[in-house]
Amino acid sequence: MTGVTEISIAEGETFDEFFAERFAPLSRLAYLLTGSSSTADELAQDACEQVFRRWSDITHPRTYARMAVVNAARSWGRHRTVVERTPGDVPRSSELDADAVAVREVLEQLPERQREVLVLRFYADMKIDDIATDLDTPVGTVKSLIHRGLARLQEELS
Amino acid sequence: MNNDRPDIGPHIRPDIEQRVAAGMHSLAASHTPAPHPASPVTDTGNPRRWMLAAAASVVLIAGVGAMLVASNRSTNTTDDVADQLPQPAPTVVSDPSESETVLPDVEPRLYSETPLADDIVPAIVPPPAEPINGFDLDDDTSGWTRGAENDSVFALMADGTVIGAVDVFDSAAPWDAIAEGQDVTLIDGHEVIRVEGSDERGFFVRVGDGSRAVIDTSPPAQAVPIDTDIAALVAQIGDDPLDAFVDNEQFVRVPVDSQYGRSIGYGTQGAVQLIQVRLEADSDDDSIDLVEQVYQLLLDGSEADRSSSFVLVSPVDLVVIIASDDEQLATATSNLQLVTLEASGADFSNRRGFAADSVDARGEPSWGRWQVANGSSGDDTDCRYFEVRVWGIDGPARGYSDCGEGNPVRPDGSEVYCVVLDVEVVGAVVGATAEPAFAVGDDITGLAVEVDDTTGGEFGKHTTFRVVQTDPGANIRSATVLVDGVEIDCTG
Repeated sequence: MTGVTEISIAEGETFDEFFAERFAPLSRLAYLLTGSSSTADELAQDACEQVFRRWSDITHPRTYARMAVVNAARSWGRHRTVVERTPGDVPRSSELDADAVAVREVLEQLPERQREVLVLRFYADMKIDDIATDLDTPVGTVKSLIHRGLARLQEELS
Repeated sequence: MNNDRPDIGPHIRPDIEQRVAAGMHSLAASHTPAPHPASPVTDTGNPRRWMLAAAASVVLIAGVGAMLVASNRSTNTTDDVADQLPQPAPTVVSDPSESETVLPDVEPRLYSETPLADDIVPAIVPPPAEPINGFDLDDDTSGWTRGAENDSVFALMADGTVIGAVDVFDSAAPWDAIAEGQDVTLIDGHEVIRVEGSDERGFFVRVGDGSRAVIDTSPPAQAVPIDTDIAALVAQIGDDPLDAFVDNEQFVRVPVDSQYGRSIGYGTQGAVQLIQVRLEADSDDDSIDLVEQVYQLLLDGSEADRSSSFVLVSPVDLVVIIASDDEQLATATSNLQLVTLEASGADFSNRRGFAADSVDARGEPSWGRWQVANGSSGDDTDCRYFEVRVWGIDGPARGYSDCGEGNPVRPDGSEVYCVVLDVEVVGAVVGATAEPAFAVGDDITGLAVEVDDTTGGEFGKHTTFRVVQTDPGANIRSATVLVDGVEIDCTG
């Protein structure tokens, strides 16, 4: 992986410390990917459980957990056969600034892969090469997805 | 046209990236994660809701109730409709084979003397907001890969009051697959495996060579004690047919038709949610009261800040109304009507997830089940996908290929499907004329391919393959699967 932003397990870091620090960010990542608060916690919990089971084997638990959330959000999105949005899941627009509202509305409408790329780039602050590696997608495709997504967001933000 | 420069789409202003990033962080900050999430260190039971029925998926996603729904569409005929709505207004939608359907002018009504037919739903007229998430559970074919049958809910009673609810369903998972590597104990002579995680508590019970789940997935505040009450339910049910259960002072089987469930939500803010519950045919007032108690218990645990009420709209159709506050609830309740699907304004056809219209191939190797099916997912009405279920009480559970994406068609016309799960890759070659050869890439270590026998049967010839870790540290996502020497992308 190039442009690695991942920080390996700090020497002596315990899973408890990882969990305490990473659960909330993972939940927020899941929220951006799914738009569902209740599902976000669940997906973050599952990701942490996967990390816990492999704690002694994985060297980059944050990357591992992040991709576990992305994959789980993808599966959730494909099979949410029942309730699209739990009442109370979505913050009222009045509680968000205009840009956040626009971002939310665009994310809801984007295809899953494009949504993943944008969230990983602009929320998780990942480099394009890293996104391409983690999503197993050509760099050019990632760039294209980002450009098209930004174009869509630019329309909405205007 | 300016040929000096390729068409790269619209120009992105310099400030857009910064605004998008700020907007995302602001949006993310609006989500408040659980303040005290249960750590896997202290909740080392089954972390995976692997075999829970569709009913449980409703609970987990919607946080509403464990018994709300299952999978199959009602078998009511359209003849029922004529009895439900005032005469002389006809209500039977014209023959679907006709190219143009002229909807009758349906007069809304609050109560039907007969069970609601498929094309009649409870709705709010006028709607409080756009009806955005109507759904109709109709995955009877894809339910095959759920591997759950006879979904039931048992209410835990104390002095005639519901104090808990436990899901029970018969699993297609072979007992040997479930029990592998697990501690097996006995409850009243029945072999069981204990499950205790942050989201589910209970037992898997051996039923012949198969298994039965007796699992509580209700919110923690309503958790049913495992070693006393759930164990008692296991002892009472044993391996008998679930419909043979005799209600008693401790447990009552909730008379809900788990094969039925529909709902409409209003507004992106989730202002109001309607959930239609189908009671069993012989339900009386006591039965209805029991169902309402169970729902109220679950709502209290998962939707404590919401208002709710119940409205019986037919002898067997109960509507649960959930609203943001009492005022909205009162308005929604007074405006509840029975209308046609079309008149409800909710697009049910686009809310079926992977409702499978047809199954092209299926297999049942020792480790689970898979199928290739065509159906719809959201706006994609031409969705062809590969769905897999791996048996086990933890670890990988279900996986799906991308909807509608093409899969490699081999020279003999056969197709390859695969999907990456947590610690393994599973896939199938469908329709091959000769048994394919499988391998992982030369530079891959710690992974190996297992091949299941080629089988025939109803869906023709297929071969199932599975890439597993021989080294627990190997990265399954790095697996390069070769089928007859051709690299297959399983990452979707």
